[in-house]
Amino acid sequence: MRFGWRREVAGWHLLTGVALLLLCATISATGKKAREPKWWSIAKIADPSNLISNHIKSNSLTDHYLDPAIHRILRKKQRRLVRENPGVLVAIAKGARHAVHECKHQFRNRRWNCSTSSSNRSKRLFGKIVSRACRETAFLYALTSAAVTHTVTRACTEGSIDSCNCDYRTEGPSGLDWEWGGCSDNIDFGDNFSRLFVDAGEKGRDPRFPMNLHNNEVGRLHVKSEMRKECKCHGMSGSCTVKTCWWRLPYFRRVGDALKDRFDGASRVSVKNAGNARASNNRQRNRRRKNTRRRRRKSFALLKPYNPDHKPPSKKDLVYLEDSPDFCVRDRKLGIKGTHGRECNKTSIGVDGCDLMCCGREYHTRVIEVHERCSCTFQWCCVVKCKTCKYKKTTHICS
Amino acid sequence: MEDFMYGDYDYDPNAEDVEYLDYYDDEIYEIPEDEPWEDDDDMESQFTISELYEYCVVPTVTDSARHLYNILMWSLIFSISTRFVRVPACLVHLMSAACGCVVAWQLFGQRTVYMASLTGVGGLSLLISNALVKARRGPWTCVACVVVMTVCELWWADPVDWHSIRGAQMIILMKVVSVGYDLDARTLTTCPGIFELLGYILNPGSIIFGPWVSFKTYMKVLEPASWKTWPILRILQSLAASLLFLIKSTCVISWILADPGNKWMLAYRDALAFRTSHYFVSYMSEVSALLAGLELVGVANPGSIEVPRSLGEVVVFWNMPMHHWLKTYVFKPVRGQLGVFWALLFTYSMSALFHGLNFQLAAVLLSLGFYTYVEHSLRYKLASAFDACILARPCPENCGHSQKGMLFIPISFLFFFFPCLSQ
Repeated sequence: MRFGWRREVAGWHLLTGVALLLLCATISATGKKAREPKWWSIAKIADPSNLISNHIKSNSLTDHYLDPAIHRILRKKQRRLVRENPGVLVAIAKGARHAVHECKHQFRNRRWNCSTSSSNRSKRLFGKIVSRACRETAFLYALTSAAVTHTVTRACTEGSIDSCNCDYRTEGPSGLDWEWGGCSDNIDFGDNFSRLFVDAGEKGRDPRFPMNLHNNEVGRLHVKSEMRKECKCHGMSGSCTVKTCWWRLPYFRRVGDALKDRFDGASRVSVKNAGNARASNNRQRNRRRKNTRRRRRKSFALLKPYNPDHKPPSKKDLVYLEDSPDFCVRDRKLGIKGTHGRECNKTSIGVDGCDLMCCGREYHTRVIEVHERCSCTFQWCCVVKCKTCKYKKTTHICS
Repeated sequence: MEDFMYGDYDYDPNAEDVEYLDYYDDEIYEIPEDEPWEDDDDMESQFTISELYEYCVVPTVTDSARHLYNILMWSLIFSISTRFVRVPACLVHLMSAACGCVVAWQLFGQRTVYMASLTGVGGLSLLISNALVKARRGPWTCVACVVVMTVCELWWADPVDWHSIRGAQMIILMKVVSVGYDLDARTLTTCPGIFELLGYILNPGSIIFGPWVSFKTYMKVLEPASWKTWPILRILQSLAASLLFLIKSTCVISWILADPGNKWMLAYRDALAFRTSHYFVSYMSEVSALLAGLELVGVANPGSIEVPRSLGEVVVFWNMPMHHWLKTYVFKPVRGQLGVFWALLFTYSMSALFHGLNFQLAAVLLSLGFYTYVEHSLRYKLASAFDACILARPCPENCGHSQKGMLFIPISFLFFFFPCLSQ
C-alpha cells in the first residue's frame, strides 16, 4: 500500500529534502511542544562584526574554537558544517538578521507583526508562536532558509567563504547558443549549504518534521527561481551579433515579496499516516540506513491536502498543519501580544484597517504634533540649513 | 516517540539527546518584547564590487572572449600565412575567403546561409552587369542586394536570426556595392576576378563587425609586410579600449546608475550603454581589421561623439568608414543628379535600411537627417553673417573667416536622439 501511494504521488510531489517519516502523525498526541530551531537566535547573539574577529581567531588558534553562545545553539552537524566552512558563520548570522528584518517589513501591517525579542534574556527569537504549526510558522521557516541561502551565496561570491570556489571549467555550452558562461556554483553552494545547515536544525521526532522541511525547501526554491538572467547585445548598428548574458541574485526583498504571496495562498495539509506499513519496514529501514547514510536524502512526500478536494501543494507552496490564532488578544500561552496599542489606518479596508486590526474593538484617535525639518537649503560652503516645521498628525490606536 | 522513522536522514536521535541539552524552560511563557530591531544598512540595496565582478564582468568577458577569439585568431592566421610568406595572389584570396568562412560558420552556424546568398547574388550581379552592360554597375548591384536584404528581412529569415546577422549582411552589401561604383567611376580600372572578389568580401578581419574597407585597401594585402610595420601597439590599445567599453556597457553603467528613478536619467543610462556598446564593437572591428593586415584610420571616435561640436559631427564620427561609404556611394552620386535634399533623403533611407526596416528607427534616422540639414544650413548662414568658424565641421586652416577662436555653439542633441535609437 505504501509503495502504491508512493508511485501515485511521485509525479506531483517531489519534496527534495523530506526525510522518511513513516508513522504516527497525530499532532495533538505529542507531549512536548515544538519549538523554533535554536540556530535562529544567532540573529540576536551574533553581531556579524564580532563573528569576523571570531573567524580570524578560529583560524589562527584552533579549528575547533566556537563562541560558547554559538556552540550552545548549534547542533552537532551544524557545528561541523560551520567548522568545515570557515567564514560561513558570519553569513548565517547575517542571513538570520535579514530574515528578521524582512519578516518585520512584510508583516508590518498585519495583526501579527512578526514581533521578536532581541534581548539575550529570552532564548527564542520569534517566540512561542512557532510552537503552533500555522501559516506564520511556515513563513518563518521558509524565510530563514531563504535568507541563509541568499547570504551564503553572496558570501561565496564575495570570496569570504574559503571552501567555496568558483569552478570555471564547467563553463556554459560552446557553439551557437549564447548561453551564460560564468560561474553558477555560488547559488548551488548556497542552496546546498542551506539544505544541510537549516534542515539539520530539525528534529526527526518532531511531527512537524515534514512540514518544516517542505517550507525550508520552499524558501530555497524561491531564491533560486528569482535569479534573473540579464542579456545584452553587441553588434554593428545595434544588431545582435554577440550576446552576453549573466545571472544575478535577486534582492532579498523580492524573495520576501514572493514568499509573502505564498503565505497568502498557503495550503493546509495533514501529515500522511502510513500506519500499518510500519512494523514490516522498520527493521529493514534501519539496516538500510547504515549503508546509505551518506547518500543524499530521498524525497518522500508525506503531506496530503487537509481537504481531500483541494489540489495537493506544489513544490513552491507553503504548507501548514493548524489554523492560525486570530492574534487579537494577548495570549501568554502562544506568546501573542495582541493588537492592543497597535496603530491602524482608518480609511483602509485591508488588514491594516482599524476594523480588522482592532478585531472590532474600539480605537482611539490621537492628534500629535510632529516636528520635522523642512525647506532645507544648501549654503556655500558647506552647510545645509533647515527650518523646523510643525504639523499635526492623526493616529488611530487600537484599545 | 520511538515510532518515528528517520530513514536516511543522517541524524542520530539517540546521540543527539546526550549532547543537545534542552535549555528552554517550558514553564516560563514568554512573549516577545519587541525591542527595536536595528536596521541593517547592508540590506543589499546595491551590488557590491566583487559581486559585479563575479556576476557580470567575468561572465561577460569570458563569454564574449570565447567568440571574439575566433575572429581575432583567424584574422591573425590569415595575415601571418599570407603576408610574411610569399604565396601566389590567387592563394591569398582563397585563404582570405576560407578564413572568413570559418569565422562566420563558427559564429553564426547555419545562419551563414543568408550571408552566402547575399554574397552570391551581389557578386553575380556585379560580374554579370560588368560583362553585359559595362555601365551602371554600382546601381544594378545595389538594387540586387537591397532586394535580397528586403526579402530576407521581411519574409525569409527568422527575426531573431536576422537580428544577429544583420550587421554582417550590411558589411557584405557595402563591399559589393562599393566595387560596382568604383568601376563606374573608373577609380577601379579592371573588374576584380571571382577569387579577388570573394577574398575581399569574406576577409576575416572585416566580415563580422566590419569595418567597411575599400577594395583598394584590401588589395594591399598582396604587398609583403614585415614585422616592423606591424601596428602592434595600436592593436593592443584598441583591444584594451574595446574590452573596457564592453565592461562599461554591460556592467558598470547599469551598476552606477542602478535605479535612477527618473525617466530622463533612465533614458540617458540606456543611451549611454548603447553608445559604449557601439564603441566596443567599433574598437573590436578595428583590432580585427588591423590583425588581418587591413589599413584603416579609425572606426569610431568616442571623444567627438560624447562631446560633439555639432550633430553632423556625431553622425560622421559614429562610424567613419560607414560615413565615408554613404558619402561616396550614396550621397555624392544622388546629389549630382537630384540635388542635396534628395541626396540626404536617400542617404538616410539607405542607413535606415541597414538598420533593419524598423519604422521607429527609420523615423529617427530621417529626422536625424532633417535636423543635420537644418543645423548645417543655419550654421552656414551664421558663419557667413558673423564671419566666424561656427560651421558644423571645424574650419580648415586656410578658411576665410576672421574669427577663428573657440567660438562654437555646442548643440548636443545626443540626449534627445540616442535614447530613441537604443529602444
